Amino acid sequence: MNQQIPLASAEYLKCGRCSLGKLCLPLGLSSNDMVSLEDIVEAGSVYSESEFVYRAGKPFEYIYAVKSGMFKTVLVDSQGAEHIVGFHLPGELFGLDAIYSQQYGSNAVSLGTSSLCAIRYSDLEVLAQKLPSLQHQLLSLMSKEVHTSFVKTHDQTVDQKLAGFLVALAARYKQRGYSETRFHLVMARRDIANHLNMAPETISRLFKRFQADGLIEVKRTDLHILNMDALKTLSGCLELCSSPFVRN
Amino acid sequence: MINAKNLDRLLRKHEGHGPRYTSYPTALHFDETVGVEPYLEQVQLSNQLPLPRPLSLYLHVPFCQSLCYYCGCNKIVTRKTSRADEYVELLSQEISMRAKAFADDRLVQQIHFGGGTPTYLRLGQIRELLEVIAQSFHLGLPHSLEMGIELDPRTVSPEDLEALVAMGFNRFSLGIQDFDLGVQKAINREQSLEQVQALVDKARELNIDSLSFDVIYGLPKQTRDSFAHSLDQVVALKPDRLALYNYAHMPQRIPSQRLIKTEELPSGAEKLAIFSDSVISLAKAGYEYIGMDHFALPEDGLSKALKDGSLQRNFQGYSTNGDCDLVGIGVSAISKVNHGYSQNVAEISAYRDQITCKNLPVAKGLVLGRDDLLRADLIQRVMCSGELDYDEISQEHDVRFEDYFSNELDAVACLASDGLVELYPRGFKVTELGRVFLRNIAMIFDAHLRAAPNDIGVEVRYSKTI
Repeated sequence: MNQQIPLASAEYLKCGRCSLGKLCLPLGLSSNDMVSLEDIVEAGSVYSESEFVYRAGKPFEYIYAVKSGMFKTVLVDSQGAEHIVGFHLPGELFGLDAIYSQQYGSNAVSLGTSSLCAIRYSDLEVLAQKLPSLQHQLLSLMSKEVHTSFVKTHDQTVDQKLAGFLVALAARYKQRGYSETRFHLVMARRDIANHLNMAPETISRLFKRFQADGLIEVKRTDLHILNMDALKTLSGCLELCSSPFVRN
Repeated sequence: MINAKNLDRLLRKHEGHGPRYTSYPTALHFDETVGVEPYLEQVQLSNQLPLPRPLSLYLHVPFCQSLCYYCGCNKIVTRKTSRADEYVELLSQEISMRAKAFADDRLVQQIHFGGGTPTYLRLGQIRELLEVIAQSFHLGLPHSLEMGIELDPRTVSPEDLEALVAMGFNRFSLGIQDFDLGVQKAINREQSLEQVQALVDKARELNIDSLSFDVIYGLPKQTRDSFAHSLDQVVALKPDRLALYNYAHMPQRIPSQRLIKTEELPSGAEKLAIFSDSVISLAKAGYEYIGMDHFALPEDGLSKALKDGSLQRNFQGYSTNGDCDLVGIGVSAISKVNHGYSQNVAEISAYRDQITCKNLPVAKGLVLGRDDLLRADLIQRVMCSGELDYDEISQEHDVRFEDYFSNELDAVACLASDGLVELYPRGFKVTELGRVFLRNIAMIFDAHLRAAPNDIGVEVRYSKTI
């Protein structure tokens, strides 16, 4: 299945030419404004599997936009236990939670070979004051993060949680121009389990049940959603139906 | 129905040497630098799939009471049963070591005891090993757990079968080879039809799921007539499955085969005729040709799996048991987990040393790259469903099939002119006649074979294709 998101190649590194522009910071910028944004973006650093972008406690400097592949952000509690806060797809930002505390609150780690654009926040702040549409998009993206964290605090059954996770992932792939019914589950089962606060055995049990019920078909890491409506109903539709960030 | 004359002609035309493709790449390409760590890494990756595969366990028991001259398996002929006592201990330790690496939701769906002669072990020892497996791994539900064991009719009694069924075994495979006494003497394996009949009757009475026979053609003193007679006797016993193996005479590699008189072997032409006769007569007797060496009655799981597309090829030949990760336990046993193959040390002393040091006894292995995975998938499809859909493969492997395999497709077209495959605009299908030549079709897609220095190299390492 051809669902892997290709690595950035040089000519697509500029925001104005980036296929993720409609999802990422440049949304709504004029071509002149785009050049100002491109000036402050350090585009396309490549990370190998499990490589750290930053660790919790590091002083805040950059926010990051995923260019290709996938990253996860991980909270580590005082006992050293990890909790995966989110998986970040191309066009999504992370590091925003460090703005208020001025230090990163989580570890950011690459899943597979992935790449990033880094934007120095002090530069972005200055530019956003000059460009209202940039400021608007920045706030929208932050608001989206807040919304997502609301959804996750909702009390759900394990079925709802996993179905919701898959439905939201499907919607995010669709936004990026990929199939919403066939995609690659890049993250390890352990990571999905951790993110949804379940045992890894629960994940396989649910995948097996969803498959037996004809909702999905799983071949290795390839996921095929056979009945999206049923999966949405099962999820309670929380992440998606109320979501302002699913734009086509 | 296959035409006998045409089959004869094509058998002569396509005779040659090649792998049996119980794996791709074949075990000859395993690398000694690929040891325990890559194996454990593949286990970890397999555990992390959203829906991990079930497990299939293979236990290798290398001991035999006496030497069958033709046998090329990794075996030890001894009457000292104390060696088995020690071996059971070592196997138990390996089972528990292997199990630790797998996640708790990896259920065992299949357990197979092979050899050598698994029933060289006492029944109590087999039970003990099953208990260790049950304690270490997590077993699937009883109705979905396939438990098979290879039996030597000379050393197993009908009462033993009762005990094995009581332990949970539901599949038996009997080593028949040939019913002709002259042939049996020439290979040092004498067993009467009555002995076999008694075991078959008992197995039927016990209502086991599948009874399989191993038969070998090309053995010394076999003729078309003698083998046809033996095969009639086999068919009269109505095994659910039948493996008709080609005897590969390679005395330079297998010392015990030097005890076989070359002048007693059937000629190449006679051997082909024996095979051709057998294919025709088994079809008449109602057996489906599964592929390679395997035949099965229409109501058997293998025939059903062939029809519904769920057939799989693995180290034990063909299997109905979907897509399992295979865990090999014991000397020379091969594991296949995720994208990796790994084979245990062959010598029992090295095996003992590794287990005693608490190491997994891995000798060599291979982690499949992208090209290997693609070709392994194609060869699996050729061997099993016999159908290739270029678009489906292109999509699943992210290649353009016709560009990637342009040379191979020329070769496929040649086989089509012999009626072995039927070409479609965007794919091909192996014909009924073509199933007799699966190896030849699969070899087209074998990149490692092409890399072999010359035909002689292939000849030394592989048995004849037909």
